Amino acid sequence: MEIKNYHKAESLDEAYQLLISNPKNAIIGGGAWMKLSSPSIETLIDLKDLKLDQIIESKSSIEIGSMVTLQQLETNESIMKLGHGFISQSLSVILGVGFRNIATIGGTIVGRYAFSDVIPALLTLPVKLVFYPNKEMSLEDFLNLKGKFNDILTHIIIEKKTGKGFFKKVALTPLEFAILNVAVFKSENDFQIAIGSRPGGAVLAHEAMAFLNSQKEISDEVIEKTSNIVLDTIKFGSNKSGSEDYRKALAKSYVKRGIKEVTFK
Amino acid sequence: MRIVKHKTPSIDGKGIMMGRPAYSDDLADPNALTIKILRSPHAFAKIKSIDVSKARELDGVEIVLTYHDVPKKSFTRAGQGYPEPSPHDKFVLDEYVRYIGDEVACVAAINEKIAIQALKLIKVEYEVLEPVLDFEKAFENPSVIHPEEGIREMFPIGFLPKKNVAASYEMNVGEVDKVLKSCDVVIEESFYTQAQSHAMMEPHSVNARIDFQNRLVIYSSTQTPFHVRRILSQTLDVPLSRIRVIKPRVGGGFGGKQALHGEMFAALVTLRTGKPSKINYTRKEVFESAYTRHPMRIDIKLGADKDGTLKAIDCYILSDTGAYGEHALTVFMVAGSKVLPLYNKVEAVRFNGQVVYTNHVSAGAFRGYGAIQGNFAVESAVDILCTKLGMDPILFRQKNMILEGETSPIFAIMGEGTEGTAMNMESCKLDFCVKRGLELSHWKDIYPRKKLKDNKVKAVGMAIAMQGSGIPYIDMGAATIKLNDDGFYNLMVGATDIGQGSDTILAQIAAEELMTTVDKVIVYSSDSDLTPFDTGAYASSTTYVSGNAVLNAAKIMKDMLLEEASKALKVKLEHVKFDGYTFKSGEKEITFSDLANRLYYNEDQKQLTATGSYVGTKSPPPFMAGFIEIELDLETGEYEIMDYVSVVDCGTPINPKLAQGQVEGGIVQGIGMAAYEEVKYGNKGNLLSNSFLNYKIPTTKNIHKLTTEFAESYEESGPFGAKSVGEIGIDTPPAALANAVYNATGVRITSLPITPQKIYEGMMALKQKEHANENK
Amino acid sequence: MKVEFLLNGRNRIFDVSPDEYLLETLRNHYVTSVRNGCNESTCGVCTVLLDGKPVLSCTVLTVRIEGQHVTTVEGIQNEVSHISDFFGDEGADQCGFCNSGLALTIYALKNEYKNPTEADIKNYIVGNLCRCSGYQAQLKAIKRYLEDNK
Repeated sequence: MEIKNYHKAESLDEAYQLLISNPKNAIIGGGAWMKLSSPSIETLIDLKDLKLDQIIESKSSIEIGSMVTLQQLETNESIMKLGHGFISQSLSVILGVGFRNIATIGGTIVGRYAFSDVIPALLTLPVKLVFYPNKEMSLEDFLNLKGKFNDILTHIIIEKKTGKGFFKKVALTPLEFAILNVAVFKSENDFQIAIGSRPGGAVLAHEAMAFLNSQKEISDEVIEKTSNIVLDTIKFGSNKSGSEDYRKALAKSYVKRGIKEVTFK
Repeated sequence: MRIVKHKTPSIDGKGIMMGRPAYSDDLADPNALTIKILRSPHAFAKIKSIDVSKARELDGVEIVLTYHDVPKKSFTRAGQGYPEPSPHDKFVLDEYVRYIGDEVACVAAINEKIAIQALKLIKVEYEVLEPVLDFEKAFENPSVIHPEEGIREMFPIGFLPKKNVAASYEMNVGEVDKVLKSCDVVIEESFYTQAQSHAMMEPHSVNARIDFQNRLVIYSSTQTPFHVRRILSQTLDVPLSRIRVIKPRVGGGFGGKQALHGEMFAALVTLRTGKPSKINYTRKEVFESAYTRHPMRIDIKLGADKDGTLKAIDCYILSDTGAYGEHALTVFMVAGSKVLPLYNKVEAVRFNGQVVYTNHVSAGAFRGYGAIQGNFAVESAVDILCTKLGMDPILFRQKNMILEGETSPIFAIMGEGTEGTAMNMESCKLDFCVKRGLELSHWKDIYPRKKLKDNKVKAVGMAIAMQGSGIPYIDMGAATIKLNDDGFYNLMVGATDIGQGSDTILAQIAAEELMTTVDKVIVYSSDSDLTPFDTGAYASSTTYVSGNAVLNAAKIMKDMLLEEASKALKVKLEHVKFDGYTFKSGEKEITFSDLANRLYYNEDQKQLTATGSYVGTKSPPPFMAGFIEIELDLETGEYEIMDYVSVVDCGTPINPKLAQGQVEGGIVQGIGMAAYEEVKYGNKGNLLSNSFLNYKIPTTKNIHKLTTEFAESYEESGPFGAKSVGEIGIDTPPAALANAVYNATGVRITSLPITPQKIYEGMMALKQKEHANENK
Repeated sequence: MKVEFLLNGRNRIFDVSPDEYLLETLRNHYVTSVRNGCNESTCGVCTVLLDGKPVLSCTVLTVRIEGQHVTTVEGIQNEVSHISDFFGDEGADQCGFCNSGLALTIYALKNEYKNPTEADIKNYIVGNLCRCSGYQAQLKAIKRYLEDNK
């Protein structure tokens, strides 16, 4: 990275004004993902002193500051309980602790990395992103956002839901990008299914979810049909890690296994 | 034995873990100029013009070198015995660039930032040429990768650069075509092995300075300091006596540092500027601009009779040496010479092939050195043959494999680049290795597979392997032992510790013979001024060749000590007894430390030193049997390696823990090649696998269990019965895994790595075939 | 710009550029135990402890750690010597290049987990790549060290 100036912001407003004053200025979260892309930055703006590194659990939600590190998040007791630990699991597969003690959840989400492990898992929960100065939107909406967006992510709010989650990262070795990510979450009577690293970024399988959620009984046939709808409605592609056909086979297998696991185990 | 064949902690592990300066870059001169290399963006091109004026003008830049500024002598970067079996096809800098990452220009500046800036100011105009990126299309390709004058082979190796051939070879035992025709069963198959990156943890690192005697002193993370000195001297026309090469601690080599990487530039920059300099490869440069393993296509024909007698082996290899021909001939030959003798009772064997140039990253030495590629092909082919024969693969191997006391004609025919050396297997416990491995792997309970729940299956596969111990009549090692006051020794060896623990085991050998303890043998290694010669850490030579040299030196020292003791005690030599601590003769005695002090300070003063050398007259192979257990998901093709059982015959393991570390480290690298690692290129010849994110080496989570045992074995010609253990571990995993996957699914994978996707596609193809047959 | 932090218990002031990483700062000041394996956040060789937590020093900008505490093996010598006893006994130390970073990770693991399972250990050290040992001997050594330190 090339960085001309470094500034620790004393308020969100100061950070925001500095950010929009020059297109070559940037906010740094952990700087871990940032380093991998080697950008050239005029002024690097640090939110370290703005107390955005807290995780606060209330009755209905878990509020996560954007500067919380991935490791902090993974080992947090409230997060570990969520969905029987599938969010923590999706974080634990990201490189090693030396990386996760630096990378932040804010930097991870804002980067919208297609290979992200934690984003597909979060997509299956009701997650709201809070930006400064004054925007709020769902994680899914943020992922679909087009065009330039300069607002600063300050908080990630997960609405607490009782249920069971499933997460699978398909990869040959633990330290590489996923060939495919599959996340499933079942609460009361609602299934959520997300696929990531397709190699495209994480998406919810809406048509498949609609079908599954309309069923009274979760039989083998229903599960089979749900997985086929995923293949018909979600786009998969080929790259050097895997072919489109193989990704489809993986998606089918793991959507089925995920549904079974959150329903019956 | 009190010290040899016992575990002892390495003599340097603690100090290194505690952070003492030890590696090349830790020892660089603090004022060293930083060297950066401008590298070619084209797979094949000619430099039409190169303008470095702006770079030279940049404040802080000391020197910029292009091909106009450097000697025009061809050489080989390969660290091998001289004259080398590698073609001299490399120039320090050339007007041709032959792979993406090849050297174009060299900049030295006062710091890294300025050096990188200077690179950006160099203007190069290239004439882009058509690259050869498919090694199966390289032979007689209109695009000639080495059209230049001034390149040559040092002795006939089949060097035909106008046809893009770096080397070729053929050997025949008997008449293989005739015998094949007479066989009841013949199988034929082609196997592809991929290029593998060494991925050692320490990137290549060299620094240079001029000392106060006006000599060039090089610190290099190298496996072959003496070869480095010679090659620098010959290429840069500097007298050998004005160059000193020191190898400090090395953070892994595995063959990837058995050549010059950066030494030429550090030497030139320091000679021209008079200033110290250093060059540290980035991780990207280690992937892109150092070496890979030779990728190969191996065509195998095996012929056998109904009763399971293997009668003929026909082996053709096409090997891709990339842009330069270092190790081209020798790796290719080892793919035959260190695999084919495993089945020594055949009536006929043919081994032939070519090594071609392509515009890929240069291939070079890599642990196994051809044996792993050849082993994958032959040991897979054997299982294929067994299926066709309807014969158990264990029984087949036990019937046909080499045993103690036997020999193979191939030993006499195939050496490394030259003729070989005939030898009998004085020590070969391959039969025990197989038997014991069957027990440890629970083979009989699982073979071929066992159903598990959830559409998973457990399966086993195996392979046998051999390697060598040094290169006979070529590899020489030497050791000097110096006695100190108080009764301890300095052991100076040329042998190159690159992390395998040679300093430690050589101290153990000396301590055993001198009847002292390891802490009383202080090792100093690999300094071309202060230590005697050694060819370096390759060809699994250190324990056998350097170890024998140490043993010789220790024997001479012991004789000298007895002589001095007899003088001190004023008795006849024959009457002196030594137990390591005291020299006794009847009632008279003198302690070892008293004798040492006497020799330093009191009477009959002299400095005792003893030098021993050794050249092997044979290369006794270590042997092993490797057994893999996998759990495979029949739906997705994913699998996990649950256990790898290795039973190894390395003769006497000098240090059982370190020997186990060599085996297991090799096994895991072999598993990497079998299952995960792949050097991948894009369409333009650009390396896609140029970081650990893209190039996947095994992690601790990939390895569930490794079970390693050593056979009781003793090689008379080796130091205290030892052979070698550095490479044998890497050879079996690819074939063992391929065989296990076949046993699990019926899918035969013939190209590496064996990925879940390949297995899945194989299973789909089998299902379709079944459906097609059912519908008939 | 100037940045002040504790290095192995001693207060230090460094003058660094905004894009200088902690790895470079430390090596420029002769902390030779912290080494460069890849400089791209993928190998773990450069691991140091930041406020007791393992971080990749090649990925931490020095300007950001004002007032924080950096620990390298030079700062916990007795502890590292103890860890190395087990590595030596298991033959787990080969080239040693990954060992200093790994030792710090092991030390942090010991402090963070009361009774780590084998899976906990592997998950914690997975980011410290090793190309020499095959990992088994390392795991044995670590288990014995943790057992010894209960």
